[in-house]
Amino acid sequence: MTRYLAGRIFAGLVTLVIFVTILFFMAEILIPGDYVTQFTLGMSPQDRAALRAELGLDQPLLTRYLDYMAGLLRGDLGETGGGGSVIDALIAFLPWTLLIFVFAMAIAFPIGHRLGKIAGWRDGTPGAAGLTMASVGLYTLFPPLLVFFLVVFVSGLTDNQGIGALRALLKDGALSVDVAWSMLWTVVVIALALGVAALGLDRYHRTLPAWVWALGLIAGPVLIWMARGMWSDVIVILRYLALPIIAVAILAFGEVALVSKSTVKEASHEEFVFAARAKGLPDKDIRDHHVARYALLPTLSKLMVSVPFMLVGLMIIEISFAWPKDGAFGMTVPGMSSALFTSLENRDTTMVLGGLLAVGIIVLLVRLFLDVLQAALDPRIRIGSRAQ
Amino acid sequence: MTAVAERETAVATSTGATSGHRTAALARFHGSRPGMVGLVLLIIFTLMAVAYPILTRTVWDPNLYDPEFGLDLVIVNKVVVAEVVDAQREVALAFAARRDPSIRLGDTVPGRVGAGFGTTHLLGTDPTGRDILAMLLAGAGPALMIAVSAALTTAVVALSFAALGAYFRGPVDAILSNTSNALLLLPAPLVMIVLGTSRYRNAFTPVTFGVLYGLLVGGGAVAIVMRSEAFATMSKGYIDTARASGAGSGRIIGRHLVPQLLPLASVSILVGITGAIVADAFIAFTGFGPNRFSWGTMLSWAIAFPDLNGPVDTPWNVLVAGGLAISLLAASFYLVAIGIHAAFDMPKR
Repeated sequence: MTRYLAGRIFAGLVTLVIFVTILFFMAEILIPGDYVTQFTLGMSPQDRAALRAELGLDQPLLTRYLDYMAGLLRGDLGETGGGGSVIDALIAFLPWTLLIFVFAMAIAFPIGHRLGKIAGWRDGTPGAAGLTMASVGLYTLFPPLLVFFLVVFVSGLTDNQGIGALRALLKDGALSVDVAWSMLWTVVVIALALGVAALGLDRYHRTLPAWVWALGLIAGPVLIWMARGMWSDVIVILRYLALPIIAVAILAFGEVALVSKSTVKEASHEEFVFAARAKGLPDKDIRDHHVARYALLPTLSKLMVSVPFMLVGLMIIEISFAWPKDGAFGMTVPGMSSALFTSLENRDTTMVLGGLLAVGIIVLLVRLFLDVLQAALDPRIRIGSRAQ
Repeated sequence: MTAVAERETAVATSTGATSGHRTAALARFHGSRPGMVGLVLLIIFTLMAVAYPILTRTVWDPNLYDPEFGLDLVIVNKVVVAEVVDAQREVALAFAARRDPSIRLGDTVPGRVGAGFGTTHLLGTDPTGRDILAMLLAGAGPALMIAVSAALTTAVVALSFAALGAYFRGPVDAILSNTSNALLLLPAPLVMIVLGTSRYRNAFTPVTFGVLYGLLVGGGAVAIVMRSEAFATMSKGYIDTARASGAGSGRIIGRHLVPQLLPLASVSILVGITGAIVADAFIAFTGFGPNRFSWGTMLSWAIAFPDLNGPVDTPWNVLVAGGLAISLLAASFYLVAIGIHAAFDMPKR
């Protein structure tokens, strides 16, 4: 297992280096001009040259590339045009995007997987075809249209001021970004703990009941937030983020249901299903304990390929809530997408690079996590990799 | 030589390329409800794209039915009567009264979202009198062009990555698969949004947009799915048979490997290109996109309208029409992919 893990991490690092290289040269070639040309129209040529030298923009491309890679090793992504470090900017922007993603998946995955499982098991019926078409409809719904519907029909549930007010709170200093980070950690750590517990029980051929999952995932974070005295802040954040979370959950639900349906359908033709039928097991038991269990791994590995696309959908939704500028929809999500697009307008190449890099690293981490999960669940993967 | 030919015919039969298999596959596609719905939608969109140039050249006055500049004066004036300063009101009223005598000076004319359904404008107009049906028809062509060019590029790139990697293995596969893994970290729609709003925005015609998207998604996500399928195919017995009978690399890849990959490839390609449609529409929606009309432009206008015209309602008819067209086009490709998946009854992966 350690050997497998080390191999995966090494492969991930190789991927990351190729990724950063592609990204760096693409950004240099395709994002026109630099920060200095964008903001210093009134400056004399000497001043501009001095500013370029200070920002390191006068160096040749290759030198800048090597500098950037060396900085990356130290965990330094350079400075934004505004002077702060890119890492600090990312720390301020990332948690909101991640919170929306994690909460939306926590809603979309259980519902989508359950419905997809039923439809895949009963494929060919009108109900299954209906679910398929509804899922495709939700998955391909143009995000700005979805946002428009949500704002028109659901905005009564949240404050009409919506996310714009969240940004105001952040500016006032009444709400710190640390709260968002610790919200995120709480949920991730509890989910991991439950997962490890489920894997441990699996050795003894027991499964962790669904209600333990539900209770742990809902009551666990709530209790911790209350104990740490951040409950009121959490409520504020959740109320403001409610609409984006619902929007992303609706998009992700379609994807999860479609993938679960196709994997369960494929698994239902396996031989062990006939064996289980021959044993006289009830249909529902075969579906839930044999087929769905077996289909979980391919479901996760297929969803892994869609994670980057889901993140794009999420960023599009963030922007749609904020468009135009201060919002016809009256909302601004202080997340990754606004960081990325503001810096794109400002020709702030380092910040754009940092933002895209952050997206890439998140995707890479999710993939690594799923690789490890697969190896933990499926001994053939660990042993197969050792044999090679 | 004849022995080789015979064996290859036998191989072709076993891989399902006979007409009998084709009929069965067509029947299974026909039996897949989502697939048929998708196909019908796609045919409708194609007809829409074809209809626009024909209609503007025959029955439609091209000035009245231009998606960007086709201002219907009757509707413009209806809005104007209540709004503009006095001197212009007289002129506006004169224009408006010619078509609709019931309008009086200073009337607050309802219908700030434009005209409703009617014979001149089947789906109504936006507040400035642009015909919504004309917009829908005019947007279908570019959107389909993006989808088709993205699909073809994705197919070429993904199939070459997968087939070359699986056939030559070793360093070729290492380079190709590592490139794919790196490209997967870079979501194609996001890159296209970044590029499509950059200085080079006007370099992106629908075709170049689709081609670039196809390069990214074909080298990344689709190539990864195809690669494992190509490896599975290469380990089948008939590849060894072909090799033993003296077939060269080109023949094995072109005649035996790629045809076997095509059904699965078409499924992931059709699913993959939905992102191109959404990305292009989103670029137009932000208003920072290339200088051409697309369905996303309709949403952009609708959202911007209240900002430009004071506290009025968002013209939802433009917004919903454009948004639904984008969503349904993307959905139709996905649904056809499901139909193809059912038609070839994909083997377990």
